[in-house]
Amino acid sequence: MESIDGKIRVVVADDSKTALLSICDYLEFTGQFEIVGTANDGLHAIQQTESFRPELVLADLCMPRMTGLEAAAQLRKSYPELRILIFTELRGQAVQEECLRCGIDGFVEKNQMPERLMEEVYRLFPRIRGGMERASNAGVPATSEHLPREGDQSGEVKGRESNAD
Amino acid sequence: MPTKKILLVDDSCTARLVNRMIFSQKTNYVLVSAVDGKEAVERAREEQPDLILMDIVMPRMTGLEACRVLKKDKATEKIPVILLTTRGEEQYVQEGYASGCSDYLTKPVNDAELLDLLKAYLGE
Repeated sequence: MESIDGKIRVVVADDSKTALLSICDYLEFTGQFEIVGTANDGLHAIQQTESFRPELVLADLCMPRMTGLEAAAQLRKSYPELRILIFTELRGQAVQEECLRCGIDGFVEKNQMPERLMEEVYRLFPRIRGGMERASNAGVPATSEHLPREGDQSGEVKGRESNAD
Repeated sequence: MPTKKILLVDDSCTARLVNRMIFSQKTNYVLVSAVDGKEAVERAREEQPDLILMDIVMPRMTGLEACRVLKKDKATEKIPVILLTTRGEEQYVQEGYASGCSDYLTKPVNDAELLDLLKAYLGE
């Protein structure tokens, strides 16, 4: 269900409170999201989705009790119209392919956030692109072209992602 | 003025994510990252960042060791290094500066304070 003001209604899930807060802060900063729920595991994300019927679920892959991927697979069956983006600190083609096999709409490495996340959001929600460009013209560094990018002057990022937290 | 490049070094994915999210909102710095001191040295040589923001306690090579290596290398000796750590005791601070760092910040770091410090090194 779209927000009255056109914002994307989103549920965000991450078992790290610090990461969750940071992501929510950023989403609010863009002015394009209404955060209707937050969750700290996959099961909680499903409950929040059932309660608030967002347009988008943004979930960490690795979470206790139920992973983001397991939650995504269940949500996909119940809510075919729901958009689901998974983010993770894990890297590699195999992980990405597994996510896409489960029916998610996009996959973002944490090391490429927020710019890659916003590119995926633009792809899934073309209606917000215009709003973001207007914001950028007003001086707000909101479009992905203006965001700091991981290694965008050097091609492929070489850094591995640690599991440390 | 060309965009400034910062090398973020931390073994915590969350710490790197938080910094990326903050910098995305407040700056237009280009960000590259490394997950330990050893990788930081490699990336600093390759990327020639304008500044390095580095945690101290990391696997493989600590931030202190990495800072010492960077300062001995002509290719990286002039890059300012800001060390970030939870260890605020005097002996650790002294050890940090002895490694050749330009600044030493104790976590948790206030976002505004950090951004002001970066601005002082990198300009507007």
